[in-house]
Amino acid sequence: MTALFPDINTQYCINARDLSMSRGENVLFEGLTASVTSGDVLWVQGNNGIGKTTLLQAFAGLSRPDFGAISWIQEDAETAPKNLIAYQPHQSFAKPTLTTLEDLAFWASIYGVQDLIELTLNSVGLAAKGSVPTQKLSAGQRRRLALAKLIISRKPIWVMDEPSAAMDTDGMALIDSLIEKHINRGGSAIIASHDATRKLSSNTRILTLRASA
Amino acid sequence: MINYLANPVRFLKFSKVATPVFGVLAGITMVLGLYLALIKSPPAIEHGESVRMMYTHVPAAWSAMMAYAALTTASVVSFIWRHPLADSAAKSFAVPGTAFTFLALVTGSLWGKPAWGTWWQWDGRMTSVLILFFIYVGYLSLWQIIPERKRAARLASILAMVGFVNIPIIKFSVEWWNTLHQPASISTPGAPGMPPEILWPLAVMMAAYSFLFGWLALRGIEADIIRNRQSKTGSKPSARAVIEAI
Amino acid sequence: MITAIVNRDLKLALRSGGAWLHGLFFFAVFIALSAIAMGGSLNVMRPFAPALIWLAVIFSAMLSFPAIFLEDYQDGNLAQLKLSGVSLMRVAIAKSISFALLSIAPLLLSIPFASLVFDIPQKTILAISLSLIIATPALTIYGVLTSAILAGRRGGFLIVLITTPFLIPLLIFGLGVVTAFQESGVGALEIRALIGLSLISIAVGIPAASAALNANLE
Repeated sequence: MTALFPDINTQYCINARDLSMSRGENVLFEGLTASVTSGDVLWVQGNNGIGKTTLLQAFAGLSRPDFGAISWIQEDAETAPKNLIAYQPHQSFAKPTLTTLEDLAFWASIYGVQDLIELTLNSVGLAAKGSVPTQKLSAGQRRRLALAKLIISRKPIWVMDEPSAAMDTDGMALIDSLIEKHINRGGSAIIASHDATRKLSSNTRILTLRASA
Repeated sequence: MINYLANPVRFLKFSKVATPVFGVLAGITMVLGLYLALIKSPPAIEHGESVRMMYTHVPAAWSAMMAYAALTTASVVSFIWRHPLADSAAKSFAVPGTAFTFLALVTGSLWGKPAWGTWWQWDGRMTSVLILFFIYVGYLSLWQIIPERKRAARLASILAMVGFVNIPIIKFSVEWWNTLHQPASISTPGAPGMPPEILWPLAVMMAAYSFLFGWLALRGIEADIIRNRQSKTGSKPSARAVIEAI
Repeated sequence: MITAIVNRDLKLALRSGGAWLHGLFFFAVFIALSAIAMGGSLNVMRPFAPALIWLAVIFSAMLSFPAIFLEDYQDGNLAQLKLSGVSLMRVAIAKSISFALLSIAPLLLSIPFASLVFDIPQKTILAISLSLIIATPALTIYGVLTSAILAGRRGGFLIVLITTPFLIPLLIFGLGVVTAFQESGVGALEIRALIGLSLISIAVGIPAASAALNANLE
């Protein structure tokens, strides 16, 4: 039986140096430098529209900075984002007409871990919803499904865009406990959020995007 | 040379000199070429006075193809090295290229009326030029609908390169189709037996179109560089990042 | 991984409330409109039947092109596939297979019925079907390529404009095959030319589509 949270036995980090990014003609931020490695939690805070999602996409390798560079490093060598990053976007990417089980099973087969489907669904509290089409799930339940996809990807860095949006208190506690499990096995997380920041690992930092005067 | 000019500042310095030179050369050769073509050269035996249309048509069709070759070269550079100047160049080659293609279609049609008796014939050459026009319009429209410049440049370069591979296929298939359905249409004066009084004006007009293309392309690149710079320097970052530990 | 993507696409299509059949209805409408426009006389239409069927297939396919990547791009599935480590080349191949199965195959299966409405001999129908089957990879891949370039953007007319130059050689040699097959059987030169076009489309179109997807996801 494969473990749900296997240890991450690889040395890795992600380095952003002097990033400058823009949306259309508007420059969002300049000179942003940050680094995340095993055991780190980096909260990304800031008002709506200030560029949190753009920054997260850059960390995930889905958006190119105008200036500066991001490097994904594994065992002291540059690697592709796909080897390190699991990305939970703000919107749900579940297919509405697939059942929860089918939707998760697709990604499990992509990652080659079909034997973990049941276990993962249990771990996010969706065991009873396996045969429900994802369009009939509540917004919070869809978020839980997205968490399940993070787990099943088994990547070291979780990049999460407002994971707690539409979540109830149980859900919030679930997010924290999953992240803590992930950190304990050597993972790390970058979390954009409007919540109060919590110390989820010994090395927790807050990156605030503050509107300049 | 290309490496040296790849810097936009140096390019602007170079084009400050090169652009007027191209403009003046285009003007001189155009006046000379038009004089030779329209007044000096004799009417052809086979085509009469309408042969003079050739002096504007053939160089237009030729420059349209040359512009696409230049566009593809710039696209390859843009795709491999992601160089912004190559993006500007590709875009700036496409605009005069489209105009020359359109001019080739119009002059071809005007020439067709006396030569064929109709404004249009689905002959191999005209059909190929028409398809080239579609390719150009599709390419420029792609630039228009993608707001993010770098992404637009990359996608447009892919389209241009695939389009380039496709051009000989189109040419081959249209010519094959043409021989299948159409009897041989008019004969264009071919190069080997061309008398010097036709060859000279044609050569000068070719040069005029090439200089005109160079001038228009350089002006386009200059404008694009400046427009880019304005949009980037015009805005200050709206946020700054602060990192603190808890 | 390719089969996983194709399986999911088929499942999604079957649950789409019949949206995947719209292309087939368009095909029927195009044939009917052509017949009405041409006066409805079978004697007039018979020589044009192969051309009309080819046009109906091309236009029906073109209308389906934008949808190839639209949803997967907008809902974030393509970004997830890229991050999952599946090569975008495989994604392009999988999407080509799905498109051929869902949008082209129904048209190919309906071609024999066109023999009834145009009253053309079986040999001609066989030739038309053969030409379209050989052209299917090219027709599919150029659609996948342009859809990969335009991804989530609106541009129904633009997709027609961009794909047209690629489809013209197909149309020419496709109809060439229809004539040549009836005269000289499977050895006809045009058949080899059409196979060549499909092979070129695979060699050029799949890597280009993968590059375009990547450009839209970075």
